[in-house]
Amino acid sequence: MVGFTDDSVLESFRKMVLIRALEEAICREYANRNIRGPVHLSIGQEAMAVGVSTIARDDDVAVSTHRDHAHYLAKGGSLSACIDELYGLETGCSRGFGGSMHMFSRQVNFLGASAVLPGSMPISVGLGLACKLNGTDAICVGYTGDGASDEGSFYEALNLASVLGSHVLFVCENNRLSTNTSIIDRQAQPDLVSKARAFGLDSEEADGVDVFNVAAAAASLAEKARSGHPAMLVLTGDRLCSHVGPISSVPPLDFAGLIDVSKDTATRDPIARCLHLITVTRPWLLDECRHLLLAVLDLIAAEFNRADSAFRQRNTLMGIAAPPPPKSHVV
Amino acid sequence: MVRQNSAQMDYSEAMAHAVGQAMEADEQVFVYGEGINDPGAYLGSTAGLSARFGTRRCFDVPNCEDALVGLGVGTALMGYRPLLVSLRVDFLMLAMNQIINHAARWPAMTGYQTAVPLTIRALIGKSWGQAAQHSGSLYSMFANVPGLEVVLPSSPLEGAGLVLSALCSPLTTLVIEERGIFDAQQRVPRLIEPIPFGQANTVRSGRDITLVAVSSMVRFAAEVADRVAADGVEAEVIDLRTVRPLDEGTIRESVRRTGSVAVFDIGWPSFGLGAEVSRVILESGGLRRPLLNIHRKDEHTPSSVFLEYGHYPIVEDVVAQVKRLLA
Repeated sequence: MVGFTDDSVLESFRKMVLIRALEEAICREYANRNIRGPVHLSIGQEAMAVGVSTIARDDDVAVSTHRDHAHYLAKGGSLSACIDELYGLETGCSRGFGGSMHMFSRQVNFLGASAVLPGSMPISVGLGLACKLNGTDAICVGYTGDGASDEGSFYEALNLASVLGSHVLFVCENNRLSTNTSIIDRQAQPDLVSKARAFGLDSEEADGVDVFNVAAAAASLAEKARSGHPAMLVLTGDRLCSHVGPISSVPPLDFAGLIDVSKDTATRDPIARCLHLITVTRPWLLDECRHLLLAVLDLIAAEFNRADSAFRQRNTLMGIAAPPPPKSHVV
Repeated sequence: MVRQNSAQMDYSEAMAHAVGQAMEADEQVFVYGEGINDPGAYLGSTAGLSARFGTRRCFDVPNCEDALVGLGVGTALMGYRPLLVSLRVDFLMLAMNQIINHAARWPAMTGYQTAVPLTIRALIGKSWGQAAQHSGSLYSMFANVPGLEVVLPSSPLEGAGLVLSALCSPLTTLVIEERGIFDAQQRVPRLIEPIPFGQANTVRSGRDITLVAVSSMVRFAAEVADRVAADGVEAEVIDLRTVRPLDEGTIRESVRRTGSVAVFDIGWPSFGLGAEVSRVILESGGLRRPLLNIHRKDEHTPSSVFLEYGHYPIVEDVVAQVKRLLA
């Protein structure tokens, strides 16, 4: 937590809680069949997006993957426009054309997301090259994952970024799963840092459960990218939810539960870890954390009510019946 | 010194001239491709650009087609107008994920809040023993996809004018160039005018039959028209210029007058230009004779000059087919 002010600690905590609360609400609402389409949740991986966002600047651009809610919100994307997009409303951030997997906001330089591995990687190289050609030290934060690193184009992108000196910081979220297949079963040599270094990138691995640790590791690599030396940050952590669909494997957000150290959730859950670190080093912030959490839950509830009612109005207007429930959430 | 207002140029010279004009006019245009700064300069079509504009705006790249198209998508999303030069259409098969899933779809997936003004030039290495993997036409695969534009120039002037429109377009555009159009010489003006997409060029008027052609088959069709003219047949020759967007109006209007049509394709027959032109005509009617579809053989190109003879259409055969159709 070195270098973090009290305010920035609280801001990181709030952003992680906002992402978690959004996705828990998706889990609850999904059964009502009003959010239609595959959803890939980031529960367990919030610290990765939020930690990186604390060192990224407004003029930095970002692109993401199918698992993009956290990246979009961490970059500053509008919560209302995100929820509207999930409901397929024209007020959505992608006007209803993108859905969960294709969030977009020109306003905050979140330039989209690809749902085909590793599609956003070469695009990140181009965005980073544009930053360089513009003569600025802005960078592209290119989110990707270990699943994408099975693909050939992943390595084309690393090489091209190095050869051209693109201003790109790849952030590879290593949850060690592609859908449900372990990286051990997919890769003969699963050390992603060595692979990035082999192509001339600067690369470090960091514990992706600790938001402050993520920020510290991202900061030094981002500086490299700003000077035309592309880098890859590998963040290790667990996806505490299903690959796709509304299934979380952690208890719903609850302040008392999160700070109960006897449960030992802090090893894997980034929000519990953050609260644990605050308890140990800045206990005077705990009360404010509790307030922030409750306020976020209220905000999410209000936003879902608003979007849900807009959705129902539109549904009635167009006379579209709700589709039958699918056989499985894993689609 | 008096500057000439036009000069005699082949396809490559006209292309380099047009791209230079675009780079002069718009700082956001840059050119990249495998080996484009070689002495060969992609058949000369990128010659002089790096000397004139610097290697920052005309640069060589590694062999990584998918990443190269992604590089174009990323820079295009930031307002640049990249021109990727690919030595063969066949090599673009390595980049289909970026071309179709990303370049073509990004505007739609973002609710049409983004543009991808990327241009890709790619060569069809017809003839000279290039065999199956260097001579593919393959343009109709791209023409199937919303969000892409597909341009098939027929001459130096056409290529120069069409590439200028490609570099101004908000969409990803494939300019697919058959080897057969590179050698013809034309007078090219010093200042090239862009040729708008979706506007076919009627290169020859006639009342008896409509010859719908693309790329090198425009000259082929014109030759067929010359030959049947000796028998009193007036053939109309239409150069479609772009197949996506397709100028359906010009095809329908012509066929309404002639009642007969022959399609001159550079690709295979299945789901190709013949099928598409048939759809356009059948949706409005007016065809009074069976449609004649001229195309390369429905097989992969052999290398041997002997085996290759007959793989592509031969003028004499087509003249006879047209005469039989109209008899």
